[in-house]
Order: sequence, then structure tokens, then C-alpha cells
Amino acid sequence: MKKYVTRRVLFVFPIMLVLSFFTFALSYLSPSDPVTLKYSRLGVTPDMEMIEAAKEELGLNDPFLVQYGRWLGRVLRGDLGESYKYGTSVWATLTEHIPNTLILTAATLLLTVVLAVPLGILSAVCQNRPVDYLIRFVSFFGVSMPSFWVGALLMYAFGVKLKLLPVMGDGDLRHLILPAVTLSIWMASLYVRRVRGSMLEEMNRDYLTGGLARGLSRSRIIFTQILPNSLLSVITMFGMSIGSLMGGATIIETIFEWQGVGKMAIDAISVKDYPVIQGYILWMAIIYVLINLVVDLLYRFLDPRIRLEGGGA
Amino acid sequence: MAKHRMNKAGILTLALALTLLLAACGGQSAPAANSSAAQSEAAAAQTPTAQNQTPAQPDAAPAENAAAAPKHLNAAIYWSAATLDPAVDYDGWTTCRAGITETLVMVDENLELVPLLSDTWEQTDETTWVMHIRDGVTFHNGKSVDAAAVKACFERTMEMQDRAVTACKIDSIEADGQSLTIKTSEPFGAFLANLSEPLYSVIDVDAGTDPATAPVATGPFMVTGFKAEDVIELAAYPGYWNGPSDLDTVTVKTITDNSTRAMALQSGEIDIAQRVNNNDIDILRADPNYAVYETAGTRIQVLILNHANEFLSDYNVRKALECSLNYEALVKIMGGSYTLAGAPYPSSAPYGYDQLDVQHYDAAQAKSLLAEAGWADSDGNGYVEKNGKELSLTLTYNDAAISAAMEAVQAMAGAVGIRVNLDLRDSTGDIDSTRDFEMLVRNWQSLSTGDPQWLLDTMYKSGAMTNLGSYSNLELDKICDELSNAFDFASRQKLTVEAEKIILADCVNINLFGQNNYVIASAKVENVKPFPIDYYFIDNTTSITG
Repeated sequence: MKKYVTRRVLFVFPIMLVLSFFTFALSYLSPSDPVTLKYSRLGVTPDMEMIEAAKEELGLNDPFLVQYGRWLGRVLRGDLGESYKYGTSVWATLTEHIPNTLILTAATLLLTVVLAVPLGILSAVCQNRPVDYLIRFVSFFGVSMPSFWVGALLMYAFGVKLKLLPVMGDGDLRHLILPAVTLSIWMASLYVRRVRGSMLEEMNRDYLTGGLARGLSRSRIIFTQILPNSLLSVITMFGMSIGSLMGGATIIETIFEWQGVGKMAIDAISVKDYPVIQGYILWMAIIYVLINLVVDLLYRFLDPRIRLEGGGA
Repeated sequence: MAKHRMNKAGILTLALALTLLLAACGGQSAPAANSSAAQSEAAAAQTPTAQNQTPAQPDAAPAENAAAAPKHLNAAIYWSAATLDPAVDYDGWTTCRAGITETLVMVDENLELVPLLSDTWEQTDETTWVMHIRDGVTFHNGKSVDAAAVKACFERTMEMQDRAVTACKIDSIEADGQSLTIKTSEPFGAFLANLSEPLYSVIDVDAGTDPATAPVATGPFMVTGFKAEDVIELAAYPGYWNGPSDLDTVTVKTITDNSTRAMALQSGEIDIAQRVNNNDIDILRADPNYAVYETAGTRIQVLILNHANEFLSDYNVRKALECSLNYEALVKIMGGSYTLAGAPYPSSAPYGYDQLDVQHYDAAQAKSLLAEAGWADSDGNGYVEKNGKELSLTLTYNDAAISAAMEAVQAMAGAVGIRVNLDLRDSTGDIDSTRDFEMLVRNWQSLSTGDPQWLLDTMYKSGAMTNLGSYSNLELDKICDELSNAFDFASRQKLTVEAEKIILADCVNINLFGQNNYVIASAKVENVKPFPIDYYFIDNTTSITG
């Protein structure tokens, strides 16, 4: 197990190296010229002489690999460059927005778990009964409705009409409710169906019949055997959901004026602020790589079949 | 069966218990929101929220208490600023909107140039202007504003921003007490008007604070907090030279989404805002709790034609395109706050709109112009061709709100045989340097300083910085030069009309539609002034009733 964990953790480094290469290559290949973009912030339309001088100064005339190596060296020292738009360090811009995204992620996941797990269990246990039909019907709607539309409806209902909650901003807990609910309606609807499906799959296995034959109560089997087994398959999906949320829910963050990394990325993309875009892509890459790592390790820890198949490596 | 039901009930109970347990376990994440937001919202937390002030909250404080309560205004702007330094980019427009910074002169509600920090001025020769800095003006730190402070500020701005050098053609500045002498590098008739550009906002450059986050300026409000592209917290400056504001504090929130801005107004989170969608304006106009203030704006949506393009270099093609568009229909599609344009400057501006042959719809003329130039629909697909090439043009734009109008442009041009391909992008900023476009829609501030020369010099003059379509006419260039030497309004007006006639005759660009400026406020907000130029918004007279 220790050997596997070490190997799996070490494998992260080449992945990150490849990702950093593509991150830099994407910006390098973009049609916009960083020199012109930098000058435009200062209200200057540079002539060719100025552009060439600035390119030379910034090392933009060096071969691609030299530029990549220099950039990677800076990134490893924690220097992600300077935002064209803000004129501040990308690191400062990222760290200003990441906490808001983490808060929104945590709230959304909490609501999703609170809604999806009990309803998924209930739906599976009451398969093909009115409660099941109702839950499936509602979750079908939840999955089908675009989240920006749900967000607008919630803003109108709870902000404009009932005046119970603010429609925008990131000031306090009240500001968190609408964007978190908007995101979790879609996510919980998805997970209700997933939990239900996994539960039903496990409930069709022989060990349920075996347990009942041995005199165990149905509810005990469900909560001690079927639920843990069925949630295993949900873990991967959950990991990806955490990743996508931590990458920022761009549309929801934008319409609710929630100052997270998603909104930051949209703002950066609209003005082609490449250093910030690079920082955002690296953040996303790190998040996905780490979450995949955690999910893999969790799987191994929770599912003995994987441990045994791996020969105890 | 009974046992089975019991099991179901037990499972349901357990499921609910699990729900509660999970809720309790995750409860720690909620306070995190409070703590993270505490810094930015600290100032706002000291003041009553907008929701307490809305008509929907009848349990507001009694009148006698309300009189003593601090007055707070929540304002929303649509254009975010990365910094509060007027010398950076167009960030001065934001500080001007928020009532933080002021210029030496300003353009009032009637598009007239009026004194602000400079109360009198004199042009002593063609290139020399002596501005008297108003006595009794102080910066937010209490320091008196004299000519030396203005000189230091302008020199810093010119060092940081090339636009500050070119916009007023400043050659040298001298300071003597309250007298500021500015010499221009050449005679420049638009000097005074261009000095009203918020780029020339006066800040104390020796204040010891970072102007990017806490500029020390002269406006009615001083900065107490700032989060880039999010929120500016302000407090009224008690020493404001023109009488301190009746308000105690102001929160200026950046809300980029038009619908969100409208809903924030309706929910009571915002008291006053610039710009919302047309359909929201109609809703708010019908609601007695809100007032919509509207004035003729100076912004025009312009379809820039690339004269370097093989098709658009032909006058007949440009003119046919111009005649193919039904401008009244486009205005109707855009909705109530949009107006006919047809010329480089709006009809509300004093630049001879009535004397011009403004752009108008004439489909028959469009077809005959194309036929005259040898274009014909030889393959019967509805679009004209010449020398085996179809007349096909790409229209690039970046504002989804005008998509319906752009689709109408596509259909109208198609009706006379010109194929238009729509290209909606997130941003068209890179085109400024690449110039890689055929037709490009831009929202131009036609009278950004109340003076017409800026538009001519920057958008139409040969080789100008933002003459994206590479148009060139030596006769027009000559008029631009003459405008620099014309200092009285009548001669400037005459020259501007001449320039407009040339631009229209050459069919340089297509002025699609104009846009009125509007400010929407809660009925409790007092002294709202809609300005034709939208970088004026809140001033020392803006107030709110309890």
C-alpha cells in the first residue's frame, strides 16, 4: 500500500510537467501579442520599433523551449507573472478569488449531499412507488433546467419578490445561499439519480438475499452493506464535481457577482489577460490531478477488491 | 407486509437522521463565508442596508430616528475598474462616476463646458492657456490644491499614459500659486474640452497612498475601501469645496450583468444604477417605486468598414450596404432607449444634424449601386457575384445584447444581395492591433469630452490610432488640422459640419443607432442628473430620503 501511494504521488509530477507545458504552449500559440496588450493598458499604440524592443527585453524572441524553461522556473519559484489588466501579481489575484470559490464549493457540496443521499436512498428503497416517481420527476427537472435560468428564477423569487435574500455579491452567508442553492439543485438532481442507480444495482446482488435469509433486517443490510458499497461508485463522480466547482462555476459566479476564480477567469479571458489565464489553468490542473489522486487512494482504501487485485503493491 | 412497511418507515427515519447529521457535520463551512467577506464589507456593515430602506420593509426606523441615522447610498455601475488610479487605462472614468475625482473643467447636462477645479481661464496666445485653480479646494487629506499640485499630477499622468500627452497635446506646464500655465505643442482648439477627460483628474501624488487603491483626490467622496472590479466603499468628504454631500457613505458596486443590475434595483440592494436592459427599463418605468431618468446620449453603435478589404474598398459596395439597412427597424428591434443615428454625431449635439444627408434606408438604390458596380446574382442563390467571387462579408461584434439587430442587418443586407456572416466574439479588443476584420461593431462615445475633434482625430483622420478601417481622405485631414487652430465655437461647429459631410459622402462607416443615457433610481433617491456623457453619475447633490 505504501509503495502504491508513493508511486501514485510521484506520478503527479510528470503529469504536472506535461500540463504546464500545454498551459504555456496555449498562451504562446494565441494570436494576441503580449507586448501590444501590455501597451494598450497604457493607452499606447506601439510602433514596430517599440514592439521589437519590448519583445527583446521580455525575451519573447527566444526559442519556445527557452521561454518555457524560463517561465517554468519562475512558476516553481511561485512567480506566476503580472496581470496585464490589474498590474498586480497573478498569485495575488488568484489567492484573492480562491477563498470565495472554496466557500461556494463547500456550501454546494454540503447541500448536494444533504439532498441527494437521503433522496437517492429513499427513491431506491421505494422503487416504482409514488415517492420514487416524484423524486425521479423532480430530479429530472433539476438536471434539465440550465443553472443560469434557475439562478435567475431564484433571484427573482427570493430577491425581487420576497426580498428575503440578496441577488448578488459575496458579503456574507445570505449572499451565499442563492448561488449555492442554484448549483446544488442541478448537482443534487444528478446525484439523486446516481445514488438511486447504484443502490438498486447493489440491492440486486445476492448478499441482500443471503443477509435476509440469515435473519438480518432489511434496513440494517441497506445501511451497513448496500449504502457503503453503492457510494463507492459515486466517489469518482463526486471527485470530478469537486474539481469542476473548484474551477469556478463561471456562469453562476458571473450572474451572482460572486468574486470567485470562475468570474476571474471570464474577466481575464475577455481582455486576454494571459498571465491570469495561465494561472487559472494551472490551478485547475492542480485541482484535478490532486483530486484524482485522492479519489484513487480513497478507492484503494475503501474497496478491498482493488487492493487484492493489485497484489498488495 | 406490516414488517415491510415498518422497515420502510425505519429507513425513512434513518435517511432523515442522516440528513440532519450531514447538515450538522458540514455546518462549519457557513461561518467561513462571513469571515472571508468581512474585510471588504466592513464599511458597508456600519451602514443600514438598502433592504432596510426599500418600500417593501415597512418596519423601517421611525421618522425622528431616521433623521439621525447615517445616510447610505448603494450605487451600481456596469463598467468595472481594475484600479482607482485615473492615470491607468480608463479607470479615471470609474473614479469620476463615483464622485471621487474631478477635472479642471467638466461637460454639464447640456453638453456645455463649465468650470470645476479651475474657475477661470484665459488663452494668452495660440498655444498658451492660463488656468486659475479655484481657491479653497482641498484634497481628501485636507491639503490645499494649488497649481503645483495639479502640475505634479498631470506630469505623472503623462509619464504613465501616452493618451494624456496626445489628448491635449501638452508640451509644458508651469505653476505659480493658483495659476497653472499649460503650453501645447501646437495650436489645439479642443484643448479645453479634452481637459475634461477623466484621465486629467487631479489627485495628490504626494499623499503617500497608492492611487491604485486609495487615491487622494478632490471629489465629494473619498475612498474607504476598494476591491478591484467588485466594490468601492466611499465616505462623504466633509471639506468638499462645493458643499459636502448630504450622504454619509456610498457603496459603488460593479455589476456587469444587466439583468442582475435590474434585479438588484428591484430587490432594494441597489438604490441607483446606470444601464439596464430595455425590457427592464419598461418594467421599472411602470413601477412608482422607481424613477427612470433619460437624456439623449452621445454613444453611437458604429459599423466600422474596413477600407482595406477587397470589397469594401469599393464605394458602391459601402453605399449599397448603407442603403440596405432599415435604420428605423433596427431602432425598433433594439427597443425604447435607442434612437436613430445616421451621422457621426447624435441629432441632440449642436453639429448641424439637420444640414446633413444622413444615412437612410433605400433598398432600390442599394441594388442599383451594386448593379452599377458590376455585381449580379448569376447563380440565382440570392447573393451577388463579380468575377466569380460572391459579395460575402463577415460582421464581427462582441455584445450579445445587439444580436437581434445584427441578425436584422444580416437579413437586410441579404435582401439586396450582400451575404453577411455574423461573428459574435467574447472580445474584439485584439482587433485594435491586428486590424483583422471586415466589418466591426463598436460602441463609440462620439463626444467624449463634449467636443467633436476627439472623434475626428482618433477615428477618422488618416493613420489615427483607432482609425481601424484605414480610411484616408486628405480633405478631412485638413479640416482636422484647421479644427486645431479654431478656438471659437462657431468656427469649430462649421468645420465639424464640413467634416461630417465628407465622412457621409465617402460612406466611411455605418452609424447603426444611437443610445440614450439613462439612470434608474429608487424613488427615494434625490437630485439624480442624467448626463449625456456617461462618466458623470454621482455628485455632491445626490441624496436619499430615509
